[in-house]
Amino acid sequence: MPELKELVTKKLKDSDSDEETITLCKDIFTWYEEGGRDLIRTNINKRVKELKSQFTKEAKEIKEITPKARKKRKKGK
Amino acid sequence: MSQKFLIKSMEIEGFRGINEKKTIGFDKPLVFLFGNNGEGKSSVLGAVEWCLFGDVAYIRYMESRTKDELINSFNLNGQCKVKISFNYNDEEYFLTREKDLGSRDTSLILKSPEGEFEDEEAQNKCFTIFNLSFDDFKRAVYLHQESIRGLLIDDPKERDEAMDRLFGLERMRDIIESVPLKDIKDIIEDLQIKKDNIEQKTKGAILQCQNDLKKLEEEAEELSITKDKQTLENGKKIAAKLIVELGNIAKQHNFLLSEINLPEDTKELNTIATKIKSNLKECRTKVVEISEFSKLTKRKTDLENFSEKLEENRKELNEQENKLKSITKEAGNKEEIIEKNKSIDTEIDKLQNYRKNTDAKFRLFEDAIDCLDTTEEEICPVCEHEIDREKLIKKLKSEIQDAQQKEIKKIDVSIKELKAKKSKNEDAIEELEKINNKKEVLLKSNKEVLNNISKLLEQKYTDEKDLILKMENEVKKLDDDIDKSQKIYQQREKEFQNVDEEIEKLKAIYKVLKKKEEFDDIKVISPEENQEIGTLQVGIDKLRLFEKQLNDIIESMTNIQIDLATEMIEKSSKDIKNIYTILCNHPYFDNLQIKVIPRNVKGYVKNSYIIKAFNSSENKETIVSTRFSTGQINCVALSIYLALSKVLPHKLGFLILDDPSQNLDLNHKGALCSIFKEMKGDCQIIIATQDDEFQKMLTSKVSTGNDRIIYNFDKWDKRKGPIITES
Repeated sequence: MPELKELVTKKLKDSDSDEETITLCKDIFTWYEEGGRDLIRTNINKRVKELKSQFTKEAKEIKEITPKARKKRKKGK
Repeated sequence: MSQKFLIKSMEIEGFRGINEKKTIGFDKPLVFLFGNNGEGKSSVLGAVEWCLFGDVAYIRYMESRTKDELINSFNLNGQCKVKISFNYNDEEYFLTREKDLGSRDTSLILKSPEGEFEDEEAQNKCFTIFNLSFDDFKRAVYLHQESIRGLLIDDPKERDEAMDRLFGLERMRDIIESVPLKDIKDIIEDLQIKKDNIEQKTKGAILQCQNDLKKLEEEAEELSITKDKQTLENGKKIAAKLIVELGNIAKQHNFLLSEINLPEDTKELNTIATKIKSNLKECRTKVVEISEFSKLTKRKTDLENFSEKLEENRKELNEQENKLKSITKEAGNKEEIIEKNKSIDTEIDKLQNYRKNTDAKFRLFEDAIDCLDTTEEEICPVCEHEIDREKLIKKLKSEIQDAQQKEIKKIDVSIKELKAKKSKNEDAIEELEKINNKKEVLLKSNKEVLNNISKLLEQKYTDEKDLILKMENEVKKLDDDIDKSQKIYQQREKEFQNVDEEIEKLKAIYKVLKKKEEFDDIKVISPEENQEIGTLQVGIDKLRLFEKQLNDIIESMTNIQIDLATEMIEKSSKDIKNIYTILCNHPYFDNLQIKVIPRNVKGYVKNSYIIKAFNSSENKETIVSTRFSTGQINCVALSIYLALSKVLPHKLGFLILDDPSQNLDLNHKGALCSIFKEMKGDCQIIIATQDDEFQKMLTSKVSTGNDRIIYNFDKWDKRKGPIITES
């Protein structure tokens, strides 16, 4: 496994991948060694959730700051 | 032989199916493990793998993350331990690996002539001295049952997986497949849809607002406010003018006005318009209440209403009078009608008495006939002639009956006619009473109306006609007065209407300005939605970047897989051909060709294998999986594996084959034995099999007798493990 990890990392470096991608690749190999495919899935989903929660939190804050539009009164009521 | 590491012996305790400590000697070129399925052979082979690399391929660790499935369930110490002694260049190496229940880590000790190494250092040292990785081990040293099994299945995915296993690349495939790229794609797609929806909604709102604004501008233009005058400044001017005008009106009519300030912004235009309108309304009500015009109009209306009522009553009285005349003409007056009815009653009484008498008269006739019927005389008592008595009686009865019926009917008809006449007279009396009552009510109403007129005119009356005349004169006089006061009223009303129109203008300007503000807000996309779209875009970008990173990694992994597999195929192609020719001995396809290509499976790019067999002389080829039998496919797998074991430069001098003869026929097994016979001089061969036929062939064709150890796995005990005997 370590040699495969190195081969893939090298391939990524050769194709000018950024440091973040290379770190993610190393992480994936580590996760596999520690907990197999389940851990890879768990950790990737966790990362997606983190990314999602970051901007959904931002969106929520925006909504809270912006005052709600007043409801129009219907005629005759 | 001594240039490579050979297994001399091994001790196994608590590992997989083996609980009690077992020491197994391997100090021969051929080691055969014979026994039925599930009796511990694979556990022994797995122990070699685990001791060397700390892992066993094909075990899915489902129960725990700490891989406790490796430890025998009945081991009292909750521990597994494997110790292997190797011989290399006539020197001994000892490798011991242990694992405790619940612990993810294993301990490894390597005792070598160079010294003792532990754990990570020991693992690194192993890698150096054996010169092979775990993947290489599976590729070239240990042929698992599963490596062959997958090749025999039709599903291309499983075949590719099996080929990966043969090439020791299955873990890369496993990693690639475990990356949830599709889930990420779905999430990105969801977010994109959400973002698109918000954008679409905003665009729709802009269009709607634009239309609304156009409509409001047109409405304002209809009120003579040109577009250039639809401004806040103009609104302020109109508001100021209105405040002054309202003040004048209030002053004129002594109306107390609440204070109204000049507007500062668009919103205040509407507030002021509403305030002015409400003040104007109040003022108007008050002015109307106190105006001469309304008083006169009211007096005139009242008198007109009275006059109408009198006319109505008069018409009704006439109608009733006519009805009365008509009834009297036809039936007389009430007293006359009552008198007529009395004489009708007397007439009826008479007729009823006559009816009774008639009845009695005819009963006498009937009695006489009955009496005649009782006698037996055949002579007439009157004329004394001879008679037919029976015939005479029948004739008399019939005549009497007819006469009676005629008489009675005549009386009844007369009574009926009299009764009808009486009923008609009674109806006439009722109708007369009704008319009289109605006349009384109408006269009463007339009196009331006249009293009211008298009250309104403030004049007592004795003569009705005189009063009506006075009333008509009064109405004429009122008309003149109303005409005069109406002009004043209309003038005032015009003033109010002017103010009203100005208020409407003010409101129209306010509506346009407000819509413009709204439009300006939406035009640039509301900050809230703009921010939401922005945030969503940032999220999508981040996730896309993450997806790209994962895709790059997967692509690199696939390329590495393809490179490695291609390299190995190129290196071993000659050996594959040689072994395939001996082992498969196919009557037509004499050579094999393996190609590795990238294939897109559900969004993942994976390496895929195409195994073709071809006929060299006729240059014809076929895809192995479509034409070869399972036995022949097994030969293909064995050819690849055995060829790879020759090619890879490593220091392990043994080969492990677990159940290599599956699906092979007698000829193939024989060919495989001949290959082993050839190889046994180059390396130590460890074979596990349950196949009796193959066992016999191995002992007779491969082994010469003293070059082998045979371990028989006769029985398996759940607490002890396999019972192994050496033969």
